Amino acid sequence: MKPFCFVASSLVSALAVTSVTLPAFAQDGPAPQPAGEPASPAPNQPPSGDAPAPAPSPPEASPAPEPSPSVAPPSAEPSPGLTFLASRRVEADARNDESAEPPDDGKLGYHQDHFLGFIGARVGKISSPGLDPFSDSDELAQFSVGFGSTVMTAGNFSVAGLFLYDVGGHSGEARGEESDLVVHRLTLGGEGRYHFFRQLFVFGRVAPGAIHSIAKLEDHSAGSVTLAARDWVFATDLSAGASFELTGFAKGASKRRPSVWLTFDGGYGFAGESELSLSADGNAGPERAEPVDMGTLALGGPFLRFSAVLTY
Amino acid sequence: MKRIAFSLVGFVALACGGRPEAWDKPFEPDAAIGLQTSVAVLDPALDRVVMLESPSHLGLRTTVLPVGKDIVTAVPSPKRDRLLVLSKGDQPRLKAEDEAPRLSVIDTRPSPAVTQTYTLDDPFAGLVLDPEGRWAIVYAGEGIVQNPNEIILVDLENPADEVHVKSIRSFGGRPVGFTFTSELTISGQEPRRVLVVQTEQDLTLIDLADLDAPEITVHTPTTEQGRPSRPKQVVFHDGVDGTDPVLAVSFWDNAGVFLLDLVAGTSSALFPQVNFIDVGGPPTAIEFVETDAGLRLAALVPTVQQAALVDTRTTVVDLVPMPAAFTGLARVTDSIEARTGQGDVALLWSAAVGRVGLWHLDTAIDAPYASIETFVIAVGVERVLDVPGPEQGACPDPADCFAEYKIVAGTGPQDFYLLDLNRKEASLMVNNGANLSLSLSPDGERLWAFAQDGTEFAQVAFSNLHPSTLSVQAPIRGVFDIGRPNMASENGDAARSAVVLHAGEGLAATVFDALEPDEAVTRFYGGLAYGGLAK
Repeated sequence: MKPFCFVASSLVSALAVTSVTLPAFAQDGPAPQPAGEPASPAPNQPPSGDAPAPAPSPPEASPAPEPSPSVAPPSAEPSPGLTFLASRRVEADARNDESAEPPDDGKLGYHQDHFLGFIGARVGKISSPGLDPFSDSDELAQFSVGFGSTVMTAGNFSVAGLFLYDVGGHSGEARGEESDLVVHRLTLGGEGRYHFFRQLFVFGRVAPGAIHSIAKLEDHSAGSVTLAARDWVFATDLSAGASFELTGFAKGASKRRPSVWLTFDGGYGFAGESELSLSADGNAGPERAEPVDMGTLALGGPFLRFSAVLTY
Repeated sequence: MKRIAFSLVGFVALACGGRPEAWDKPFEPDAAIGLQTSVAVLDPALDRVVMLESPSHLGLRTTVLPVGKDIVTAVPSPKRDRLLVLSKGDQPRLKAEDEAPRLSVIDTRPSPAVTQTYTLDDPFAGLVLDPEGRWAIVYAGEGIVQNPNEIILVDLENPADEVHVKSIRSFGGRPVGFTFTSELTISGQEPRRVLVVQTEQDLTLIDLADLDAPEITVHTPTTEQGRPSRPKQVVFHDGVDGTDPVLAVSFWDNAGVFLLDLVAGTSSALFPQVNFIDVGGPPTAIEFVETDAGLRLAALVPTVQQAALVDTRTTVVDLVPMPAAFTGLARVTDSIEARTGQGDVALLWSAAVGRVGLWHLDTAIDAPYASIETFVIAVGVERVLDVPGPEQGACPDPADCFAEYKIVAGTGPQDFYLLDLNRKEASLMVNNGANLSLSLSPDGERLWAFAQDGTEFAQVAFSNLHPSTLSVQAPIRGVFDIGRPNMASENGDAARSAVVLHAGEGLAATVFDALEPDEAVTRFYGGLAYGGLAK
């Protein structure tokens, strides 16, 4: 299996697992209910002696429930996700009988407004013939790293600024001669987000920047000489994705604390063409050597990235 | 979520692309052939020919031409303006789309291109070209069932014509040599050319003016051991003073030669009248020459250190003692400016003797002893190279013509001589012990000498016989003197480049100005094997 196929299949597998896990997680506790209809007594509501709690009336016969004072006051129209999480909070508190946690304010808080850093992997499909001397497949796998911060919030919407750096490449053979390609991609991203609930948001990202490519070829026609072509080109990534918070469920308050997220995004990376005009470095190689023209390399194409994000 | 997963699977399927297989096939050095305006480098791994041209001073342009799969051989035309490439195609050919064996014709002007392709039914291994450039012969089939006597005749001047398949009569032999005659004038017939096919035991004459006419088979004489004699050399002459054209054939294992007078037959335009003449021993070389007594067939017989001059009309033989056991004979009459008589002049040489001779045939009959003058040189002569003259399209300016020079190359890694036939001087060119390869410029003005895998080579300009030693920074595979593609004169004399192909793993070349070579004024081109792949 080609590396890309392997990586990409892994990605798909991971997503498939996620797609199964999310509903399963949602079914761990009782079904989500309206925030004012807790499944168990509110933790700060003293139990009424040993008397058993009155049996709940049938839903259709019960009066309109009063909001529990211990539950964060809902917004005018609480989202189902927030309602669900609030109920989870109530249940967890009841189960653990812990009263150390501050009251949940119901806000997105640090789940939305935070600093972040991430590491991950990016795979892209490069259909440019310029990649052929360096790779026997069309994928380009890169290691990704970045950091950023939320710069603006408005309800469930927010905007983050990011710096992203992807580095990766290929080693191969071109007609028996060793070849090597390293690609550095540096971009500044603007990310618009929408939070469905604290632990899940989707985003769209625009990340203009630049690509620095270093293409090398061992030439044994006149001794052993390394030919290289280095070039900078403009690049822009357009992508969309989702982030899911892996930690912090037990502490629903919006207090700032470290948290780990898993992020997937995919899109299209636009990139200019770089000239693969390879020549020997310095004084190496024969005198007055003409560059070896390997055509042009366009590193644009669709891509996927998954990353682990640490927020604070 | 499932939709997302399926979309990603689709993305994966799209992403799993590959690259052309050509990138996975290393360049394998194969034949490099110098043409008038380009160097053709076979790239059999990719079933193509890489054509290198020099369109400007020190410039190099690459053109790749796909030819058939599994290249067998490539042969340049005599004028070196085209290249014929024979390929086997897909073998075995299991599907309709599998490529059939074919013959590809590459023309170099105005720019290199495959101008004609001939599809063949079966794979062949042999390719021979007519010295006049009209005919190509494909032979030596390689199928599981072979007819070794089948030859394919391709008329290159009439590409629309079908190829002609001839199956010569077989008596146990198979074609081993082909001789195209020039136009021969047979009494009562239109001038026609004849193809002589040699097998191990007979000769077949094919009338090229009428390919449907039955071919004529002539059995060779038997040896003392009772076997058929093996033909060695075929020469021809159109006849003089109204005489019939004549062919002569020598044999490896027979002291006689065949003389075949070509006359009109009763049912064919061509019929050979065969005479067998004993010349005193197996001749090593034969040639028709003009002597002071008329046309003769000269045959060198080194075993008895003499030559035989055979009268083609009477078959009378005059024996001429030789001062040495010469084995090689070449008529050089046209290379000598001031001839005293009307006869030919022949150059004589031997691989075993360090002497060359000039045989003045205008006195060969009357004063045979005085007809030969010799030069002592220090090497046995393996071969003699002709400097191209006007007949080869060289020297458009007669003042720059050096056809009087013959390059006498020694046996083994030794020195070589430039023999000036006008001055009757032999100029020694001493090498430094390297096993030199020699190549002549097509314009006839220079000689290039180089050692395979060495880094030094030399140019010898015939104008002053000054050798210029040059060096390159990578091992040498070959040196080729080529003209500009847009050359002003027919042979590219306006400006020329010397392309030094290198012997490394890839394909690289250093380009010199061929007229004024200077190792400080060069340009190196690497990565030529990527031509046509990088886009």
